Amino acid sequence: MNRLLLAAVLGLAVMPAMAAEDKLPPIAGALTKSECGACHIAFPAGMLPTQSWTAIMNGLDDHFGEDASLDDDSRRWIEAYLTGYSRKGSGAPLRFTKLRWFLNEHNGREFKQKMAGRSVKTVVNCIACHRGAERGKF
Amino acid sequence: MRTYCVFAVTLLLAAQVAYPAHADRARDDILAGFATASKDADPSFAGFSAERGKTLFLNKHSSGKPDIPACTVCHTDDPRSMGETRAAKPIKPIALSMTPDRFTDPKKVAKWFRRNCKSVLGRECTPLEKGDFITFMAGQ
Repeated sequence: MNRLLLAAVLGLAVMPAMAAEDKLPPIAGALTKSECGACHIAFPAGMLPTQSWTAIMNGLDDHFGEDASLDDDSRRWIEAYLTGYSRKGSGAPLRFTKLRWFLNEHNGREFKQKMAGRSVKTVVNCIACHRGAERGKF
Repeated sequence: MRTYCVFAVTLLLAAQVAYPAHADRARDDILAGFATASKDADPSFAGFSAERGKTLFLNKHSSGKPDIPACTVCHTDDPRSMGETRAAKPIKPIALSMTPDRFTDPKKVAKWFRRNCKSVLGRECTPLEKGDFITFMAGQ
């Protein structure tokens, strides 16, 4: 009984954190999910504006310092998917980690402490802290 | 108890034999294609070399992208270990002993050699290099 009570109290304590969870629709297209998801989680299309995705999908031979080129059919299909579900906004920033919506949520002491943890390694390793990232839960 | 053990061992053996036989055939076909192309490029071609494949895998190169001078950046020095992409996603070991279905899907093989050779070497790999690489991993 005591354990149940403890679990309930802990559950209440965790609730505010859960309430702050953001939802970005995950990638549902099979090709987009498997190709993008081969090297990192398939980042939701809603993380970047249209022109960003166009720029990224037309620069895959140097994708953040790596060749991530695709056959042209796949490339066009994925570009259409990502631009179709993109975030509102202008310009073509390449890194969502530089955008205000991201920076507003990733600052301060707690963020720095988590980044210093050995298992995180890079700021695009969303799943290290957001266990539901692949389901669009952040 | 003993019956269970015998049953379990039989199942294990059956699974091990059945799966790689199919995978081996697919990989052999891919290797045969690289061998034909290697012979076309150089009539003195005398088979692939695990030793050359090992050198290709372990060496640091300066002709590719600066962040990825070697295969080992993502695959580690030990082909039997888990690797990790630069975005921290785990990569299954590249050694066949650990991941028996490696190098069996021609499209995947073409895609990843194209990308990774361009990243590490700054150019596509030759059929000889691809054959050497697979031959090395087949013995790991």
